[in-house]
Amino acid sequence: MEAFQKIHPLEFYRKFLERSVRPDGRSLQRIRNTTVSAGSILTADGSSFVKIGNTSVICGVRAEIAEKQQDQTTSNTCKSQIIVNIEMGPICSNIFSSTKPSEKAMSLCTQLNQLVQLLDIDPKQLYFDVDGKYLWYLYVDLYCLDYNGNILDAAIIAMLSALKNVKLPKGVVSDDGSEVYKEEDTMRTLIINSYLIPLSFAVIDEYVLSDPSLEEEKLSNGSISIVYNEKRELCLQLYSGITPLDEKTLQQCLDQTKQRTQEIKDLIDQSINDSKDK
Amino acid sequence: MKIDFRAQNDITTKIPSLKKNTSENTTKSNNTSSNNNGSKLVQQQQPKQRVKRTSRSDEQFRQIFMNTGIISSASGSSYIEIEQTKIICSVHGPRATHKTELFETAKLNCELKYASFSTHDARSDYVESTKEKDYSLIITQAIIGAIRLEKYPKAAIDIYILVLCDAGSALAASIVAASMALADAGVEMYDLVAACSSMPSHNEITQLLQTGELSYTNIVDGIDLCIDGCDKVYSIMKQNLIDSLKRQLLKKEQEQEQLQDS
Repeated sequence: MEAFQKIHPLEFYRKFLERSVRPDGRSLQRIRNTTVSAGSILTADGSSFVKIGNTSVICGVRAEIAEKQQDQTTSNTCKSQIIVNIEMGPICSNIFSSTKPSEKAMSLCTQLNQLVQLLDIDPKQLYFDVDGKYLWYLYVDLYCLDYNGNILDAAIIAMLSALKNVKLPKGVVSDDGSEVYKEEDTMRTLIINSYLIPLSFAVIDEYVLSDPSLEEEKLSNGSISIVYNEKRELCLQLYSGITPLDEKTLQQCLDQTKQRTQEIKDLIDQSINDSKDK
Repeated sequence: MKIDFRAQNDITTKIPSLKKNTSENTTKSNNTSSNNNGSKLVQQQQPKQRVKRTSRSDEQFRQIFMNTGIISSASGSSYIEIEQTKIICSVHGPRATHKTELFETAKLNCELKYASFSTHDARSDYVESTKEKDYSLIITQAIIGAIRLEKYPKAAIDIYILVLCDAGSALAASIVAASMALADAGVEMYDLVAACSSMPSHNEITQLLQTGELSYTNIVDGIDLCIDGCDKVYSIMKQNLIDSLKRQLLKKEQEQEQLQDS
């Protein structure tokens, strides 16, 4: 059986998919077990660890300050104040090199930076002092620890729960305005009311597989990624593949992502509450 | 390596300093950053100024937790936690090299990386720092004596270490992690290397590192303490590997039974 899997992986998968089951025992719609934990890294201002099946991502947020730029308008966005980066080094898989960032990491990085702009964060929360002369910049760094498919979902959940875990110290500007200090006795939590609910799919022949593993991603002839927010508005929809996608399949995927809303919300809320008790 | 998105907005940011520099804070930072300024392996147990530790006695070790086989795509992996210090390590190989020249022994590559949020210092740059390079070399030297490199001619073994959170002793913990991951990968070794860099059951020290000014008696005391500590770490490592092997065997047995049933 193992030899068959190695020589004809696609044929091997088809035999399973015909019976609506995957080699790892999951049904086509079944999502792998997801765990979220927040606040485990002491040195970061906010952190989280997310595991979907074997895929695991760790995320840490560092807060730094800078003076407000002259050309920065007082618009209601905190654009460019949250900078997301994902690193997929050789630690997670030997397909990645340590010298240059992979294309996968680059495209993920762009998607995550776009998604973070959609979060509902009051720009006043990122003021260092009261008048907003100095601003907080949040560097969100994600590290992939185990690459086993569906990295986008894991990264989005990790990013969101780490940001919700961020605690900022109170800022003090000295009287002459030249020096800035922080007071760690009074910490405030960054309040983010919105959520992002991601779900990715792989298309193999006419079958649509939720939460694909690495092997399934490799064999697929198309992949779909959908991100909703808590109001069930669409935040990201992505399809790439060599065969066109029909409307019915897409609708199925959209519906399935909607169904995951409550589960993801509960997972994130639970992890944030647990980290508060620590 | 990462993509630097900071270049886009062209803003230099910094971490604001703490307002009150109380004595409590200085001892804290002394403890956490002992890896940066002091003699790396010895000084952890013997701080320069006789600062009394509040949470534990001078000779007391912190709680250690370790686990192996956590990264599915690597041939071997390990995770070690010494209270707040958290390190993850993966080993790829032994794999065939593409180089045409003939090696009689395996080539060992080691790469240590600090996560950008792992220390209290300013965010590190994306290029490999000298500290990371230095540590990678130290780790290589510490474990190379334990591996039976002659068993793997024309092959390469890659070790990747990621420091997730550094609250002291990151280097020692990295050595333990690397040695555990190698064992998990099934690479043939003479012995496990415990941190403080000694081979406990052979009673050989593979590496000794001391920086900064210390008196002779201090060094001897420090080494004794290290060897003592290594023994403790070694027994934990051994127990852990045996446990993980048992788990794997049990899993294999169960799988085989299932196959036979079906």
